[in-house]
Amino acid sequence: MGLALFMSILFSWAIGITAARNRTAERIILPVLDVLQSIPILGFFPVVLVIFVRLLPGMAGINLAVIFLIFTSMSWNIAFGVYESVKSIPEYYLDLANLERIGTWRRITTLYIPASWARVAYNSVTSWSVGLFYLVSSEIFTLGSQSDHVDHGIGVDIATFAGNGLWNQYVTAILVLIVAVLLTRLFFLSQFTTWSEKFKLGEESRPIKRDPIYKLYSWFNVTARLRLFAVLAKRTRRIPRLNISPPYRPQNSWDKISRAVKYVIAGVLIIALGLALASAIPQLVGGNLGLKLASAVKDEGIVLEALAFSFVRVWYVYLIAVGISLPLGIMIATSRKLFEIATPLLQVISAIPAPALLPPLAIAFSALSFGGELTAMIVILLGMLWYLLFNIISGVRSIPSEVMEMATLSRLSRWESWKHVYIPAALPAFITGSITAVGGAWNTLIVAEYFNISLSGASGVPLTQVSIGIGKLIDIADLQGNLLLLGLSILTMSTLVVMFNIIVWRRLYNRTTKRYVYNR
Amino acid sequence: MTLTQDVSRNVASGSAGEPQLLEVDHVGLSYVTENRKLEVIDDVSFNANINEFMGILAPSGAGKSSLLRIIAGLQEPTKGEVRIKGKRVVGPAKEVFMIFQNFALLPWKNVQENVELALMPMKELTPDERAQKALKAISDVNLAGFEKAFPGELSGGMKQRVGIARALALEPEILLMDEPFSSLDELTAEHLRGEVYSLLISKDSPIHTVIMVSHNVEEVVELVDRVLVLSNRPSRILADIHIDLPRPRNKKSDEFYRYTDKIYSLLV
Repeated sequence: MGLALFMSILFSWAIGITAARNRTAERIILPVLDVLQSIPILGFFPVVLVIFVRLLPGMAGINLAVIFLIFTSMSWNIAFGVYESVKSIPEYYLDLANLERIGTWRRITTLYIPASWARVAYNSVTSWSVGLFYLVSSEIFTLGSQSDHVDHGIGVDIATFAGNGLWNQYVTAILVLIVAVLLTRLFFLSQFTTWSEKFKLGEESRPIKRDPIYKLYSWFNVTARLRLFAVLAKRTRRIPRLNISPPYRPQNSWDKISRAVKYVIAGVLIIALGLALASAIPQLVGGNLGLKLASAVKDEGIVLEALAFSFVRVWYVYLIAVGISLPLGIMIATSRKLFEIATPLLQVISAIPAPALLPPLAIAFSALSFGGELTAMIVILLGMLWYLLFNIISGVRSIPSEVMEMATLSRLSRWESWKHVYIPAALPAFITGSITAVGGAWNTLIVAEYFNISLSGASGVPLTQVSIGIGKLIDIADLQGNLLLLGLSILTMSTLVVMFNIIVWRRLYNRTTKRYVYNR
Repeated sequence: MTLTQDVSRNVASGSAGEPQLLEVDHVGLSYVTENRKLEVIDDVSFNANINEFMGILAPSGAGKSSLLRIIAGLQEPTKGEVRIKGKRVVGPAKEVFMIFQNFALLPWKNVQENVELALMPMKELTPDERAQKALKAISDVNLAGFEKAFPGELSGGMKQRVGIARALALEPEILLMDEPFSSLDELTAEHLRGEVYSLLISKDSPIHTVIMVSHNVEEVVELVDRVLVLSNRPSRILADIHIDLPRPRNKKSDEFYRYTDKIYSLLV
């Protein structure tokens, strides 16, 4: 995992710096990164696994596949961080570099890399949690397919313990996981962040507290805040770059229609391309093209049906998550006491990757007829909740203190201040949170729907399972070795997610940031 | 020019019968940060008089904004107490409202809605009366025609006019101003200063006392009837000066210079 992080950072520097310093590269790299980060990576895992195992048989291939997956899950976030920090280097530093005639390589080592250290460090904290999620998921995943799986790893342990009813060991494994997460954050990543403070550019750099006793004394607070900052920095900075693009121009309805048409055409093209590709893969292996194409069209129907179910699943769980996180987040953010208690608590709870909770839930609910649905719901909910909660908290806490004082002095009632002040203030962060939460939900969904089946691997009878869903379909396709169905499922799902991001979320975000952001 | 040397004696004696509108009684403030104690306000006492525009002048970082927040009941003093009409202030006081340095406007509400928001807790008003009150205040600050504009579309000076309109509509007995002109450019600030006195202090104004915090000596001498000069951290009162100059005040007059010189010499 450390290796994956290291690779991610190297990759991010290369990509981020190129994008920030080269106009043409910027135009290509940014949209590509944007699409890549919104794709449910987990869906691709079975494919990646197959490819790596074919290339490098045995353990090496599987491990490499896992590292690759974690790498892809961590890189985009860090790459955006690098891009933004290099892009925002004050002009006079570049002027200075030009005056001093500093060459490209020295410019990278003396300016670009130090300038991006802070963001790399911050974003690594988030990426680390994200990576851990994938680590556990992918290890659980590989268990499904009997032939290829990682022998050792916390994810494997969790799944095996749970599968065999060893609950003591299961709880221990989860605790070990939490402690490991907190320790790595504390001793590795937070040091990293403090250390990188030195590299902050600009006048307003603050003195660094280095007293080791102080650090030990307030370690919990520091990590708690860093985590929040990291989430805040990532979520709030991630989107604005999208607004750079077209200059504002009044839109008439014709513009809107033509744009919608463009999106639909793009979508159809992607699906068609996916169909072609998917049918081409088995073609390379051997078979009749026409027949494959026909079955591809038939499969696409199945895929769309499953996708519709999963789509509904994601959205009703999202509504529940909003219902919980909005009041809770505002309550935490507006009460100093609650904030101090809740932040470290949320730290610990959110450190548990949601998929690790699958086994006991699946077994607990196996008696119920809707147990599979319930399990999937809880796990997806847990996957969403933290993103929303952290974003809402940071959104409300970013309200200038003067505005809070104004609300207090006006003697607004609780409901009035929620309605007029807190909820609108949380809106932009809430939408960014939603984008990430729903994006994450598609990933969790794949595990949640998938797992119910793979756990049954040993006994042969599924414990619980959802009736239908894209994750389940991916699993079945994987078990049957049906690459066509697998490819179709993944491509169609990705298309839906990406299009939804472009059409719904981005627009909503642009609209809210126009009005709901404080600027003096 | 009256210069009260011993301020605490002056306050302690106060008028015995009618309770004062505002009494600040040996207020002190200190923080404990990490491992050391930070004294912000040492010991400050004063009474505010009816129909008086009062200034609190201090160097930056001297805790004058904290003092203002203690008066408003937004912050608790670590020593002493603040009394409004003889009652000790605990929590935000209903007699008090504030004009903020950075305006404290909600970007998602237009000018009228921003002003009306502050009136919402007044349940005795019908929505119609509330709107009328807001519109009156908006036109008083010369913003008629901008009722439906959003703060993002206004200049800094106009935003502060909205802040003033909000305070006028709310009609607090004590109005606090926290560096109200310091985030405006000098020309705009000068213009707004010229209007502010007559807006806030008039015979029929329900606002009895205005307390403005500032670090700008000329601004204070131009506007206020009485100024408390505070020392650097930890703050105490260096002088309590009445400014007896006819209005509108001529910033180029000798008397004006005498006041500013006096204050500068105290601060240095």
